[in-house]
Parts: sequence; structure tokens; C-alpha cells
Amino acid sequence: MKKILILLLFVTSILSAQEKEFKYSLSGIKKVVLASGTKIVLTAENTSELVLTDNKKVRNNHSGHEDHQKEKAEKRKGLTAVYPNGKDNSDGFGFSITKEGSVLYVTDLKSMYQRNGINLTLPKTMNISVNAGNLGSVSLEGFTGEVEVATNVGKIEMKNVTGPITANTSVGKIDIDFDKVSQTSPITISSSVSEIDVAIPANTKADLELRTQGTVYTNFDFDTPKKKGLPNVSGNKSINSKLNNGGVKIYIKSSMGNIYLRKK
Amino acid sequence: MKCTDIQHKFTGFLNKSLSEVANSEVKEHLKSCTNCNKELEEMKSFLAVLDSQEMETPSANLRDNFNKMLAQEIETATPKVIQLKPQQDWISYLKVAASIVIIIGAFLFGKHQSNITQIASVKNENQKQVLALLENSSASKRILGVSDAEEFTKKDTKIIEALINRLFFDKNANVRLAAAETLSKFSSEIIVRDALIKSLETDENSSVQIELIQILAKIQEKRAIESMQKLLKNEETPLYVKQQVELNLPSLL
Repeated sequence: MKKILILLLFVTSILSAQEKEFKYSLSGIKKVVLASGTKIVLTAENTSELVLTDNKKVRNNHSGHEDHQKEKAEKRKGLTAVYPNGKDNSDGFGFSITKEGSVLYVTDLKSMYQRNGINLTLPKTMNISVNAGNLGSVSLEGFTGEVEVATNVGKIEMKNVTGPITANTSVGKIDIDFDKVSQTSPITISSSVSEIDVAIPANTKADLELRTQGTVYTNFDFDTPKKKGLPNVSGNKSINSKLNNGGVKIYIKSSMGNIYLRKK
Repeated sequence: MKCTDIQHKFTGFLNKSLSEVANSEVKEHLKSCTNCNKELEEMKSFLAVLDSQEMETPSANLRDNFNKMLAQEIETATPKVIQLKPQQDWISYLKVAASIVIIIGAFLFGKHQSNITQIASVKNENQKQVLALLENSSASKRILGVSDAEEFTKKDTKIIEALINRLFFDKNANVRLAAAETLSKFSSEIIVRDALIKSLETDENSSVQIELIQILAKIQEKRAIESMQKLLKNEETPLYVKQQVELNLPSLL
């Protein structure tokens, strides 16, 4: 009896601690296209729906804060928020959600100044395309579908992914850790100036192409063919090598940043 | 009246074809001018030589010989007519043989043609596949299409146009990057060079800008100097892109 009570208490405490969330069924959806300019965290779950939660701003718990919030809520009563680039259909989360065929577009309507990061839970096998705008960053974990990520200054972090991956950033760091490497179509990771850190399993079959004016560090054994009598052309120095007799193309390019390729 | 004018009239004078007035003029002049008299004498003797020459006439043999030769030629040129015995069998054999030859010939020709069309259709199939890949909704698949497009020749304008289309309009920066790289292999084509320059002016992704700057420097496209200088002047251009311009611009100047 005591145990049950404790458990009940525990569960209720968890429930109460959770933020409000928005759910959307993903039946028939093969790809989710997300656009938001904040810190985006995606987690893979064995579900068939999208779950969206908002990181609320850290509240300074000064007295009167609650009253202030209440007052705000009072003001909003009977009114709905409208946004310049779409209709909010995510119960007040400030997202426009539209379906086109088997693609679901999830677009942030609020400016990045009103956001403090968002968290999405999606099915493990879902194909995902994320654009984090100018300052947003993306971190995701555990997806086995195709992932496309674009940021400008925010970092890109991926863990336990299989690819195909298409990632691009201007100055954000890229850090990708592969569980295994899908052989279906190319993996391309590009950045203008930042460093790129990629870890792949030792037995990965791949055709590597690494291009940078920085330095490439790796613990793989490269059999780079010696090019005799060819002048080095600035910016077009690329390292081409086959891993385990070749396979899917892995293309990593940073014009200035170092490339780290790790064996797992 | 000059001597030369008179001398010009000598031929007419000797032929007696001059007018009365001119004739009397020449006579009048000849009375007083020894030089012209000399000239006239020379001309007279010359004309006399011409007159005394007999016209050469061909010998009578010539005509006879010619006629003989003609008759011989006519005889050899007319086909000999040989009466054939009507051989019904031989003709029907010929017909059968001819029809067999025609059938076999047609068959071989058809086979050859189908080979050609097969090769063409394989090429078309490949082209269709690549064009379809380039339109795929997955960025990675589009990149696959772009790298497959490298195998096509310069003459394949459909492929090149599709690549240019990717370079201009693809939403994914990595696809545009790959398209730029593949297009740089077709840089002998003027539309490709134009596209690369235009793209440098319009693309806002810094990775793509840097790639284009490097390509344009590599293919020595002098027309890109202007757009590179624009990038340098533009306040919104990131520093590291300007650095790339500064690195590559000197090689074009």
C-alpha cells in the first residue's frame, strides 16, 4: 500500500513537472520539415506522433510573478494570437502545421526572441529536414531515417544516426556520431569555416572525400594515392580514400576548419 | 597635227577606209614628213607580208581519216545483241534467291537498328533516372543525381540545364554545392560559366559562395571579377567569404 502510494505520488509529481505539450498524429507522414530559429532538440521515440514541448524562459521567481502571469492570461481571454506568416494551429504553441501529401511542414511563427528552445519527439524512422534559421542550433539523437539540417551560426549535433545525412552550416560546429552508415545515398557535411567532427564505425564501407584548407585528423588508415607532379591548387585540395573497399559516398567539406574523422 | 595622230590613221589609210577629210590630211602630212613616210613604208611592207601568206588548208586525208575513226567508234559502242534462250527455271530461281537475300538483309538491318535504339534507350533511361533523381524530395538523393550527372557529356543539354536549375533553385545548400562542383567539370560551356557567375551574385549561403569563388578562379573566368568585387563591397558578406575573394581574386587579375 505504502509502495503504491509512493509510486502514485512519484507519477503525479512527474506529470505536474512536465510542461504543456502539443501532440500531432503522423499517420501517412514520411517526412517532417521543421523551421524555427531557436535551439531545437529532436529525440527519437517508438511512437507514431509528433510531440512538441516548449522550453519556457527561466523565471525569476520574484513575488508577484504569478499574479503577473495571471493578469496576462486574463488579457488574452477570448482573443487569439495572429502571426504574419501563417495560422497558429498548434493550440497556442505558435506553430503552423500543414500537411502536403506525405510531408508535414512545421513552421515556427514566433520570433526567436520569444523562444527559449523547443523539444520535439518524433518516430525513429521518420525522415527529417530542419532549418534553424540564423541563430538556431540543432541537436538530435537516435534517428534512422534521412536527416537534413541547415544552420547559420548555430551548432549541429547528431548522435546515434545512420544517415543519409545532409548538413550545412556557415560557422557553427558540426559533430556527428554514426551508429552505422546507411549505404543508400550520399552523406554530405559542409561548413564554411567551422570544424567538423565525425565518428563512424570501423567497418564502414565508404568512398571518402574530405576537402579543407585546414587539417584533416583521423585514426583511419588512408591509402591516399600519391599524385606526382600535380601542383596544389588553393582550396581544392581533397583527400580521396576508400574505406573497406569502398561504398557509399561520404563527402565532408569545410573551407577553413579542421576535419576530425574518428574510428569507433 | 601630230605625227602620232597621223600614224594612228595609217591602217585606215592603207585600207582606204578613212573619210575624205582624213584621207587628204594624211596625204598632206606625208608630203612634208619623212619620218611618217618611213613609218608608212614599214607598215605597207608588213601588211604585204601578211597578204602574201597563204591560208593553210588541211589535207584531204584528214576528213577521210576522221570518218573512218567515227565509223569504228560507232561499231564498238553499239551493244551486241545476243539472243537468249528463254530459261524459265533460271529466272524463278533468281526470284527466290533475291527474295531470300532481301529477307535476310531486312532481318540483319532490323537487328542492327534495334541495337542502335537499344543503346539509345539505355542512355535515355539513364538520363531519365538522373533527371528524376534531381527532382527527388530527398536532398541526399538529389545529391546522388548530381554526382551521377558527371558521367554525361557536354552535349547533353538537358542534364546541364537540370544541373543549372539545381544550382539556382535548390533549397538545400549541399545540393547547390554539389551542382556547382559538377558544373565546373562542364566549364567549357558558355551557359555553365554564365550560370556560375550569376549564382555567385545571387546565392546567400557562404559555403556555396566560397565554392563558387574557388571554381571561378580555377576556370579563369575574368567576367567574375566584377561580382567578386561587389561581394567585397557588400557589408553583409561575412569576413571569411571576403578572405576567399582576396585569396582568389589576384589569380584573375
